[in-house]
Amino acid sequence: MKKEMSHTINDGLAFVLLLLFLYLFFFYGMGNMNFTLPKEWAIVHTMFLSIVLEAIPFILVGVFVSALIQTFISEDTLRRWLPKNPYVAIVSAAFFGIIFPVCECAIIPIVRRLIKKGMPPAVGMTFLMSAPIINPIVFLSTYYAFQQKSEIAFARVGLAFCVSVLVGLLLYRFFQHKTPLKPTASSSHEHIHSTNKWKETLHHASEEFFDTGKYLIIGAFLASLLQTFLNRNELLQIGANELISPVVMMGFAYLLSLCSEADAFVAASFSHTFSTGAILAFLIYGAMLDLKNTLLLLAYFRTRFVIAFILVLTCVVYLVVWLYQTIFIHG
Amino acid sequence: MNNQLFLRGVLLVGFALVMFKLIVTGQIQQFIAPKMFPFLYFAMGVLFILGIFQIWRSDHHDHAVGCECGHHKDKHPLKTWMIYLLFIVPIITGLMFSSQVLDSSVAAKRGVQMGGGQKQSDPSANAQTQSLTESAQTEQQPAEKSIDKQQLAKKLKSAKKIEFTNENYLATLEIIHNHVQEFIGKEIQLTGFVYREPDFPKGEAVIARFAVTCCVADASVYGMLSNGEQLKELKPDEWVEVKGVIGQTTYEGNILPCINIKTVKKVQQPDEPYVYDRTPY
Repeated sequence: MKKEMSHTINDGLAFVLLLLFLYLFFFYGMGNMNFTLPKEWAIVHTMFLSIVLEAIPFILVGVFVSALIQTFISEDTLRRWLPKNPYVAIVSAAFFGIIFPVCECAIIPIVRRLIKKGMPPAVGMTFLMSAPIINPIVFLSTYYAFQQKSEIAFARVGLAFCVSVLVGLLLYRFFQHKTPLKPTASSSHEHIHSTNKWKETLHHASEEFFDTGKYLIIGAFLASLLQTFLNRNELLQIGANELISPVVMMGFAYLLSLCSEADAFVAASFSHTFSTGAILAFLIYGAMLDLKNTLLLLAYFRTRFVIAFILVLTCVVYLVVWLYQTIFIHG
Repeated sequence: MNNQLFLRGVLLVGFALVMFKLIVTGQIQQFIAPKMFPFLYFAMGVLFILGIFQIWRSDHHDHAVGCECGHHKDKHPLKTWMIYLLFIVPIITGLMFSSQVLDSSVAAKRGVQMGGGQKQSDPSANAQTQSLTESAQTEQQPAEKSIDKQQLAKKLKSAKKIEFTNENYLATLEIIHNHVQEFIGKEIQLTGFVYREPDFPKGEAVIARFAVTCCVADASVYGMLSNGEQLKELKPDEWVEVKGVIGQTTYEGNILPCINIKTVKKVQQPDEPYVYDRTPY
């Protein structure tokens, strides 16, 4: 009975909300604004909303693909598709992005679903790291952003391949037998529902949209604060040092949480102050991992796994970039 | 059973309403670039359908689809509402507050590109030896793009007067920057907002625009250094249409094209304050 009560209250509040939304939609601020934010916060709000609006379509794609996988692909099918040899599987996972270009927002729900369906975590994470970089759209935008330095686009793809395979292998070595997924997030629907599969897909999609969305919103808000208040000129002071600058640029990429399609243009604006290594570190690290992304990962994966993943990835990106710098630029 | 289907439906519709309102009022282009609009339309449609679907189902108590299979752990209702608050707040603020056009306070924190996006492309203007050798190695450009740019470059070089449009803004800037010598003495007309570095004298300013690739989070600032008496009374962030003659100057060790101002006309901030032509596809 108490449940019924709270249900009614909830529905009542939701109804009030609907009315409020409709009121604001139709009548608020169409003419002159009646209420404005202080300018800096208006910028935070604009940044925040633009990151959210930008990400929602891709999150939706991610949750729909994930829901389709959930409804239509069985564990057995997936197992038959995947190469038996884990090393072969990890290396080939690094190329999935070419046929399946998904950005970093969409990839997380998909990889989580694949892991739940029995894909080895190391293979899934390799896909997660490589797809936002090793795909044609991102390659093209990097190429255009660095037209006079086209080796950046090629190095980005090449090094991203090395990084994702290396990290994949390390994860395979250390997390082989443990599931990286959170037990709570694994809302498994093993039993078969009697009704229409499409209805079920819609249900799973909306379910996951809310699971993912709350982290997207927190992440976008933090990123928009940094976008507004961080003074990038202070970064330039450290630009010259070749050992520190990749670290700075990795941290910077992490905080900005840009799309992997757009980050090359931001990186290009730093290319006259930062070394090629630092630019590559920015382009590789930021596409694989950022603030917004970490929150999305935490939604689905165990905290310890996420921390281990971040540490390993950070070290590997730094080392690979350092090697590239030593061999190709100075060597 | 309390599955909050109705509330979820309302929130999904709410997000779709935010998108719809931004599209109708045209403000959307101050959040994301036009090439991303199709994705947004798609998202709006999907959110509407999903939302209506949830609202409709909340009334049917369709248990078979509702999957009341225990994966919703019964959380404290307050905690549940806290989570939903995360969704409610952006919907309300999104419907209430209009967008803030990025201005010189943001430009100051991001740094301004004077000239095209790629300073290193002009070896003579480059102090860094490293990028000098690298830019010398790679002269090849993508075929289609280079034709477009070459055509534009040819057109601009033969023109007596250079006029910037929203569409060719960045390309023109880059071409002038890369071939300063060939453009010196040409007339130029350019619209943008006024930006000054702290070390600028009063008679100097950058006439600048923000360029956006996907969303305003990736916006950066491109502009041309200008000098002239008329700039003195201008304040940062004022939108102006300037006419002048292209010259050459040195700033922080780089040779840059600049505008020797003849006339300055104050204008309204354009409906399209940003330029978007960074990618040709």
